[in-house]
Amino acid sequence: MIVFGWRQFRSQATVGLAGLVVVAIVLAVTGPHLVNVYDTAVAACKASGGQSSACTNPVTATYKGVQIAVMALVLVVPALIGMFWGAPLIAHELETGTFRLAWTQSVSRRRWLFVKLGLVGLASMVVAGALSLMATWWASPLDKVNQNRFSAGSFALHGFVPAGHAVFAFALAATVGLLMRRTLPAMAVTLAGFIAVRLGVTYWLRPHYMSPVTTTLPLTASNTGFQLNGPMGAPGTASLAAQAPNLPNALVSGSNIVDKAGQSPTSAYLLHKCPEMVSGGPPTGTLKTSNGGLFSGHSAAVQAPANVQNAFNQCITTLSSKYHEVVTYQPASRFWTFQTIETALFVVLALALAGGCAWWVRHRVS
Amino acid sequence: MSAVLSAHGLGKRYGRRWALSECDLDIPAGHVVGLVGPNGAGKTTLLHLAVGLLTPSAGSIDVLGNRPSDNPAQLARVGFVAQDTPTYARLTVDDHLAMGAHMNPGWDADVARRRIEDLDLDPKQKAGTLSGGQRAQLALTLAVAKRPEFLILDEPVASLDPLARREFLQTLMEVVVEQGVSVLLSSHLVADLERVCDYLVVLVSSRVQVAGEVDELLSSHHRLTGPRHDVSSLPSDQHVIEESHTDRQSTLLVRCDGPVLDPSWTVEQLDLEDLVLAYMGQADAGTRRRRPSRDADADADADADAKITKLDVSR
Amino acid sequence: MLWLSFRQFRGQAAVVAAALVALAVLLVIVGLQALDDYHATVTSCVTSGGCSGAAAEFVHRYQQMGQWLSGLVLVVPGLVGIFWGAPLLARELESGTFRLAWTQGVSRARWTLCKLGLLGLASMAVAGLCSLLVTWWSSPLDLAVGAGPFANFDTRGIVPIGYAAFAFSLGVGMGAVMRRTVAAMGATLVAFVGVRLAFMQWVRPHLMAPVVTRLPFRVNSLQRIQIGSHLPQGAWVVSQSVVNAAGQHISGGPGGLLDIPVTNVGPGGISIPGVGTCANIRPTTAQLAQPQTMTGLITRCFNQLHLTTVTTYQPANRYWPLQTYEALIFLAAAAAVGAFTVWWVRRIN
Repeated sequence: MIVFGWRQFRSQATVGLAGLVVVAIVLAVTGPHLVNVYDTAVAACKASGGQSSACTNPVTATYKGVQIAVMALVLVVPALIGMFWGAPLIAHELETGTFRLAWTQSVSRRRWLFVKLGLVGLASMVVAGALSLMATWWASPLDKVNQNRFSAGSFALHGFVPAGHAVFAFALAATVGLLMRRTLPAMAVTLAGFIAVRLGVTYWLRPHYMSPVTTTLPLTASNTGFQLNGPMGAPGTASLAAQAPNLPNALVSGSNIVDKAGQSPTSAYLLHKCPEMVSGGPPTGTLKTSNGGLFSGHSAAVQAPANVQNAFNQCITTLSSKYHEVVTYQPASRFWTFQTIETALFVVLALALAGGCAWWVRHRVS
Repeated sequence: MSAVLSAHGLGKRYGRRWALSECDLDIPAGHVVGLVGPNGAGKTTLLHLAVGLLTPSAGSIDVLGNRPSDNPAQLARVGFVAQDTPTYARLTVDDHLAMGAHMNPGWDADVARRRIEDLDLDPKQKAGTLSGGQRAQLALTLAVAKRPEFLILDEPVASLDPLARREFLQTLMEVVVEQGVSVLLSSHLVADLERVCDYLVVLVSSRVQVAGEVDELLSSHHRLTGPRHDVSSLPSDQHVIEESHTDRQSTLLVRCDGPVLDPSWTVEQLDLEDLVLAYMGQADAGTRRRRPSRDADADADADADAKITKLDVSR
Repeated sequence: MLWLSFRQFRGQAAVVAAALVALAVLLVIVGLQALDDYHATVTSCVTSGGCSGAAAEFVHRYQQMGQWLSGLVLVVPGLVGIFWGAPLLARELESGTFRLAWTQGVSRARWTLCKLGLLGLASMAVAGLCSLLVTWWSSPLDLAVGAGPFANFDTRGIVPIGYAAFAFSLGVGMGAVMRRTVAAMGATLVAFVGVRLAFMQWVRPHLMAPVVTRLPFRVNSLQRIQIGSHLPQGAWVVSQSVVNAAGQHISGGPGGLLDIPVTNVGPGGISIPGVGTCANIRPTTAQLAQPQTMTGLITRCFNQLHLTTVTTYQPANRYWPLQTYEALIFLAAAAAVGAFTVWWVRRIN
């Protein structure tokens, strides 16, 4: 049965392997150079006390195209594996009637199913895992520079978690194919379903794999923003926004400004304590003062006027006796634990789907 | 004689629609059994139930003394060629034989190889590029080389041209002689079955209209032509299957075990096709009449005699 | 014939139409609110200064959704090609229903053209509507971000229509040639992404001859190069390079332009390989030991060598001409692939 399963899967496996080899060659050629750029440019630049963004620029700029392509590939490969390997796996047999041939050989349906699922499922994990580990190795200089591999966008492009995503996408697709009995709709439903599950896990489940670490910081002008909302000249509400602290490679899930009782300052309180902000501040918007810019991450950052800066500093000094900043985050040291948890989660989901398929094949398909 | 297949009150439902209901059937071993019936009679459903591709919604079915199931031991004993003889279009003939060898413990590689050679199939050719006849032969090879005790074929020749049809049935007969398997073969074309079958089952709307050895059926059915008769005046051992009357003449198709003694009848032998058509027509009229009361009369356990109805074919 | 094509396509069309309507409703609701927001904050603050803060806040609020929508417009043509194009003929060829269709008294060319035309138009309509909705929705956001029209060239305006037509046509062609649905879908995806990337990289910058500017190259410290200023707003920088007084390109080291080993520093002046020599700048032995001073001297050397930054760019007012050209090229490519498909189908035995 395994030999036969392999014969059916041969051509798809060849395509997958060929793609993997192409990517491996590209990464093997460019990777050492990237390491070299990091070692020479960044290390030398940092040693001579240069500014960090200027130092890291050569690394992030050298292979920007390759980086985007590789990351996009790691992101979409699990979905592609699901669509192109998983969805036709059973649906195509049901569509063409060959299941009647397969199921009347002297092999139980369950065995037939498990061999097919097991063989191609393992191949999915190997392809996605190998791709991701290659990309992780290749991008390690970039990760040292960017320090964001735990963030929502890049966690799933690192380590072995794409293997879990791939085997889940595959099992989902096979299941949908079995239920819908048609390849094409199964492919479309798989795509939509997989994206939905991935988003749900990324934004709702992942931050809660382990209870986050909480740390308390004093309120300073450098980690706080002051925000006024409302029509021009008549501020309706005021609020304080906490700026995420500089925690390299951590997954920050929240930063709040609260008092000892855990209460945030009310709008009325802020307007009462910081009247100068209302009269002197911008009509609306957020003010962040430490680096003199407003939302410096965006192109629209500008210097706040000096009087606003002064008023803001005074305001924060007044408030800091009562309020502090509470940051909840997953520390960088948990990265590999989270990788393990998420991979296990998706593998378990895949196994559950495979079990569902086995039940369905035995009891419902007719 | 033991039964290779016996069904009791067998039914299969899809949603609210019954594809097969209340089917009672016994097929003795050692025969090549033809299962005839119009489209939609439930032949395919019955065969799928027999190989375990379907599970019954009602009643029971036994094949070779066991419930057909998804169980390797049982699967190994029954060979099956599905309708339209599905094969993996992108795998070669060799791949198919490898599949058979890997998936059947009793696989007979010699038989498989010899048959492929006899058929002149290129082992490297993909099944998708074979002709319909070759594909059917390949599917039969797969079913035969697993050395089953019971071989079930679902309209294997329906889509073949007459020559390919004859070749296929010839191969089938060779297999029967060589391996001594019991065969159940469905078709809606009597001519195909006449050549190979020694036992016949007529299935119409889930019900077995008649079942028996072909020779017996032919010797016990007669066409009687004579002056106009009242059907009720016939001897009690003569069952009318079909009747037609003109003003002066009656033509009856009757079943009787003994000879027809009334000298006013001209007695004619029937061929198999006439016989099957008569039973199909009879059941057709029967179902048409019964249909309105079908739900209320759920366990209408009408046997063949009770369902004999009059057909007015005179113009 | 048209009727059959429509009948076969009805289910998919209904799904997509429902999705489009849902998207439109969502976008109109959120979009009107965003426009209000924009007028209440960003527009009205122009007079009193401090607009950047308002813009940044606005961007912060809507950026995530904007990225999702841009992503949608980006993938819709590919999806259309995969799910509508590739199966169109492949499925009929695979399952044998083409034999039924080709014996209905309609010529194969007409049959193919009809299918191509109907679904091709539907593909273009879907991509066009998506793009239109997203372009309208994103207009205040794009203004607030201020990165210029070319920042979202692929996901705004009329080019998505061209992409969708091409992806669809490509999918149909792949299906006709490969005669296997799933394989054709995979091949369509790879080929479409390949063509799009190649076009972006090698063709788009040269659709119109880019404007070339030459500006003196300045370094204000060893790590800060001032380039890119003095360009008209919203321009798309196609390439930027630095040439020395002799007109030769300065390639720089692995870490960029300024990662050039300054090999020959001594009483004879500062010599930078491939750039030039400043004979007049002669560091003393004491100065050689001071990195800060040396940085200043090397910077002075760079700035006196009359290096020039050569920038080629497409000005913002070429946005619509470039959109039109690219859309037309992809439409033409779609038509060519479609013609090839018709020819191919006619010679299938």
